[in-house]
Amino acid sequence: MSHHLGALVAREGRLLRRDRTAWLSVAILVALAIVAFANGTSWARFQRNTQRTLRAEEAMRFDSAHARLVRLARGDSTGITGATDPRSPAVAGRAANARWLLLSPGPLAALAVGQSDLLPHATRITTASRRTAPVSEEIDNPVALMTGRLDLAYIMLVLYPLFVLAMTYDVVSGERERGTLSLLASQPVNVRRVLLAKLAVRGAWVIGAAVLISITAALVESTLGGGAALAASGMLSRLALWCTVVIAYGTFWFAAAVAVNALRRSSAVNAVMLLGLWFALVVVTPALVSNVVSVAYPVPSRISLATAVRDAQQQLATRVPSRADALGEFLAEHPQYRARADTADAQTMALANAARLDARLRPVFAVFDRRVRAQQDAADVLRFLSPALAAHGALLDVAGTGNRRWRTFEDTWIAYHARFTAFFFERVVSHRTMTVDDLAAVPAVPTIDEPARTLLAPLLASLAAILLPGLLIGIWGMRRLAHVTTVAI
Amino acid sequence: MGCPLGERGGGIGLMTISHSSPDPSTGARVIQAIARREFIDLTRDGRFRWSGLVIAGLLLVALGAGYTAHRAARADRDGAQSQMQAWWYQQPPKNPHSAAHYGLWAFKPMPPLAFVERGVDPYVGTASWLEAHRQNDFGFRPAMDATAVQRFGEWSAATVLQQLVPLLIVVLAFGAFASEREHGTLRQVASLGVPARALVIGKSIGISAALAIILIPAALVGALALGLSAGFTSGDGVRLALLAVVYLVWFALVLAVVLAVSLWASSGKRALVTLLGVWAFSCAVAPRLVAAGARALHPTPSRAAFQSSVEHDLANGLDGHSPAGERAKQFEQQLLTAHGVRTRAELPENFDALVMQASEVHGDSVYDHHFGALNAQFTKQTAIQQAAAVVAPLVAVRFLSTAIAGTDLTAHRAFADAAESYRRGIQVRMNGWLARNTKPGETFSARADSAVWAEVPPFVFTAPSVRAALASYAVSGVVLFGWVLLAFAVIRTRSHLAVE
Repeated sequence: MSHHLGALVAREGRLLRRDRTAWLSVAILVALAIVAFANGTSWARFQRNTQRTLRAEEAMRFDSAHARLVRLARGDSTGITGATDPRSPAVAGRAANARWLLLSPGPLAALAVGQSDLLPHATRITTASRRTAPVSEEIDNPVALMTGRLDLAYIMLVLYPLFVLAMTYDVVSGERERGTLSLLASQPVNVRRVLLAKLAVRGAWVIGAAVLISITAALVESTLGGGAALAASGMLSRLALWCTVVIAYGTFWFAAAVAVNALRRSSAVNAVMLLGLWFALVVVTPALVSNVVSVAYPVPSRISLATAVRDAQQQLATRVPSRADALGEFLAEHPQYRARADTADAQTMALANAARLDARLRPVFAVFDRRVRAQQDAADVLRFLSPALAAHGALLDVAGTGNRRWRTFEDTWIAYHARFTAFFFERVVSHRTMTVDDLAAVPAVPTIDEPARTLLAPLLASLAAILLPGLLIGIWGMRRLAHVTTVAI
Repeated sequence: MGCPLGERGGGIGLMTISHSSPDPSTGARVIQAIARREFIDLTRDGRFRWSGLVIAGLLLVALGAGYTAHRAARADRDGAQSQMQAWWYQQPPKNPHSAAHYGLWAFKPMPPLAFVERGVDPYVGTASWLEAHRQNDFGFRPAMDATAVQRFGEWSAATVLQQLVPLLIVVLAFGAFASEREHGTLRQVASLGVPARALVIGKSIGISAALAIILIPAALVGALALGLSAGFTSGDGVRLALLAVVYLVWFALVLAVVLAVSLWASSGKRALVTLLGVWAFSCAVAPRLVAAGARALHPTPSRAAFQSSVEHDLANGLDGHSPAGERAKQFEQQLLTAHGVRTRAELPENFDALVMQASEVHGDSVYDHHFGALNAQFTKQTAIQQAAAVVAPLVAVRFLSTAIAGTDLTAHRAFADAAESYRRGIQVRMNGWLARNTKPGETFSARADSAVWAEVPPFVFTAPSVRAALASYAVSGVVLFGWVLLAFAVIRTRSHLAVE
């Protein structure tokens, strides 16, 4: 038998290809992955279709508003009432010209559903306050939300380690139990090299399958599922990042299997120990981190926010200031309107009152937003406690369905809403009527852009969290494998 | 149990079996001896101590975290609801229609057992604004404000009992027969004349006793926490007892499956790997598959599509042919004919207010139609999921557990319906007052005072009884018992092979 590691690996590879259980485990992984991918891609498609409908509806509304303005310019005002007159900027800023801000599914969104089924993916922008926006999250069966979705990310995080462990947990102990280990030791071969080759081939078998599955899923999504085209929108770079995380995560579990194999216990003991490690890292640590995060960084309930809004409304209603005072408060925040604002104008006063309410609520909502983000940041930091948590965060970020991208969406929402309302408020306060040119000048809806390179820094941290413990454990295990035949139990 | 040879074999000497005749009293003593032996073996095992400690620890942490969060949330909601109610009654004199627009918020209460079984509560909205003209869906899902980590990792006491205790049972009992057979000690036991049935029963009792050591303290802590929580009633005690029964049946089912696999497998290692695969599939994969299947078979519309079809029907009537203007004309005609007068002014009540109420009624029918269709889809999905519990019994346990705790979808719907009835009641009263006490032309300028607000009774919600809650999940109960019977049947038929 050749001593060269490469030759050993090739031989083990040939042996493995004839092993039925190896093919069976890959078949099960592939079957699960197909179902998971079907789930993920149907959800991504649902989101895309919904967003397409919303854009079409928005275009129709724009066209009809345009047509009405043209008609009015010609002097034809049939069917137009005060509440629907598109020339009034106060009316124009509401439902008639509402814009949809969309969080379109990224190129790998079919691989990881993440939080995208809970958080809204489309919000309607009007001049109305963001705080009183109606319910916009997608309709879904709460039992299904509670159960969670079977997507590829879930398979990778929870089940893929079990497959890696199942293939590698009894390489050494199985040889000992079958009696072939002493046979191997009696031959003029480097026992450690042979065992490592066996382990490496079996580990690579599963890790390779996982990578192939991911690549196939992404390619199928981009060609058939209506997803982003291959080269566009950074799909390839994201796919490379995804595969890197999958390989790193699989390598960690492989290293753990190597270490446990080197402990010279029986197969059943190995299985229980590795299961215990899986349990500790995939189940217990995330549970403890969740509890710590929710206790140490509690988020005030939305109910208290709703009560705060009512409270502010009550206060403003009981102490009604004079028009001049109310307008004064408004102008203190928006000095650019000072020259043109006029207490006699009902629309301006309505704006002023709404702005007063908003000003009262701003600190309350600022505290809420700060606490939510603090909780997310804490969870981000604590992900280093478990490779499963680090991989979870990394996979969701690469797919764009985690908290990170939604935060970008929320920031864009706040900024765009401010620009949109400023555009119409300017015209309300100045008593300008809307014209066709004004309609075209309404600020365009931004697209949520998240170039792959912004993900690199957090991803590198996550990869370090996965690989460093893996490397330590793996190197220790590899060293100890040399002694595996000197003491038998 | 995969332990080194000899440990188990040595225990046989402790069994004092003098003869093997099927005498009931000695039969019971045999079982007792086997049970005691199994119990001692298990509790001495380091693996039991570690895994038992971890599970018990997780259970207590889940109970503790659940209890503190629950108490805070409950106080928050109850306080907020009474504040909202007070604000309604304290409204200054204003037009009743303005009051109807002001409305109040309905906050979903948390049932006492929600600290054990959170159910769907994090995923359904907690608040709905009860305002005029519009039935708002429930918003503010608590899970939206939580992190992705919490969705991945958070465990309530119920999920620990549903998913992790079975894993504990697997780890404790996988080798009950398989390892003994592998090491040959089972043959030695059989040679003493111990009937196979006694062996199976004895081992089951021993393992159950070991489990009880881990679970009973947690159960007592849970009961204590429930007893200490505000608003505890005897009904809640009954619910806790029912919950205990459901989980005992679940553990019995799991133990039966584990013993059945242990009887069948040729070695401890094979039994363990098989059981781990079964566990991973049942807990991690099957429920998600079932939910996905139910959703695919009975899909629900997107939020945007739902809202736009509601708006379309509100504007054009349910049949799509009667816009508001036409409906108002028809209504006027009917009203004039009914009262036998010819003009609006001759009507005994304010026509404007009557039209408003008629429009509310129309809106109500539109909402009933659309929300009804949506809820019908959810009901169909639930039916599919319950049927699929045949391959994934965890789904059945979950349904029963959430139903008993009052955190299932039907409990949410009951509250949503109650809130909607209350909202409609407000509209009827406000529009009724306007109809009786104002003339057309002053409909929206008239003012009412707090006597009118006080006519609206406070919003009180009584949760449906346990019997009503469980009625929707009869199929789950049947499936669960079916599984237990099947597992026992398999054990019964294979137990004679135990010693081979």
